[in-house]
Amino acid sequence: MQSTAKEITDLEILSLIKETSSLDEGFRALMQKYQEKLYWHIRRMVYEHDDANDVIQNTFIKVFKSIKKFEGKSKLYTWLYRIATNEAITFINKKKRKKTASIDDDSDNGVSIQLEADPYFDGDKVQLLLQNALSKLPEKQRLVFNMRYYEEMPYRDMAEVLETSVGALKASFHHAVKKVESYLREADNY
Amino acid sequence: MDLEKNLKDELNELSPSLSRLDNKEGFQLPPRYFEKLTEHVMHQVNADTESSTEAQPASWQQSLANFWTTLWQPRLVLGMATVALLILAGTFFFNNQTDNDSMLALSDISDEELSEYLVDHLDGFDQELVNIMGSPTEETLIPSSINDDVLNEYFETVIDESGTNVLNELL
Repeated sequence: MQSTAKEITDLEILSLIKETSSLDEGFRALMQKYQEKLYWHIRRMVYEHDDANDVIQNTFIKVFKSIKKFEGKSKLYTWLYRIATNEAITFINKKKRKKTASIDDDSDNGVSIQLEADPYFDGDKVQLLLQNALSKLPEKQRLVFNMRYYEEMPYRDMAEVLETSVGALKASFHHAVKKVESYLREADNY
Repeated sequence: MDLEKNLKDELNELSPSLSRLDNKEGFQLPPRYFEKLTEHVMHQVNADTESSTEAQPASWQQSLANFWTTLWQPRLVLGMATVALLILAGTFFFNNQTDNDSMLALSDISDEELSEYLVDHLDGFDQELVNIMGSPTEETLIPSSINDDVLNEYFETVIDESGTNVLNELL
């Protein structure tokens, strides 16, 4: 009997992908196992669904092209997260460059306008405020905050994804929390 | 020491007010998004794989056929013909110029100088070539400026130097 995506282990996925005859089956299983986690990871970084959709597709195409080179030195899911993170950062930087070149720069307003216009966002006032506070953080701190606060990822795995030390990540999360707290207090909304 | 603290405990220490918030974001998705995403990506990667397989040459015969087809493309043929024509024209032009130059140089030499040169270097000419060019006449070999006495003297000298064996062979 064929195993379902939820039951399948990373090792089984990789052995399916190794054989050309079962490559499709293996890759489909990999997608079904990790696409939701990776999508939300990307969505938190880029905010809009359409952007997240583009980035997740590029991520999986990149994964497909390089999966045979995966040596198993790290966990499969941290490797996937690393690719997704890099793709999202590349996308954000490209978008920033376009925005800098454009006259219509609304960076002072945070992401409120962007999220309110997104048909796939229906968060309440506090959630919108929190997203606004996060958008003011430096990219790396925002990434660390999202991975820890929303995804509840262990520091050790975060260190593997972001290729940095656990100590540095803890410090980064600490700074991020303090900044968010201060922003929310100023807004006097929670 | 436990390095991996529970998130709630960690947030309680860092910011009690933030830890009281629900960590949900309010982001939504189109219906059946992930099913469609899998199918879309699988379709895309399969299309990429097929196109890259098609791009690879199957064999050397196919490569040769491709090369031959490329070689006979009208634009390439026209280019090659133009180059060949230019080379031919160039060769013809430069050859003509060289012939004209030699003719001009020869016209500067007087008949007397030529005759002297030929007499002095008669032994240096290829006998077969001389035969091919046709039998020389007395007029062409012996210039009119040489009188009979000089000629007789020349023949006696040649006979003396050649010896009787050579004369017998010639006769």
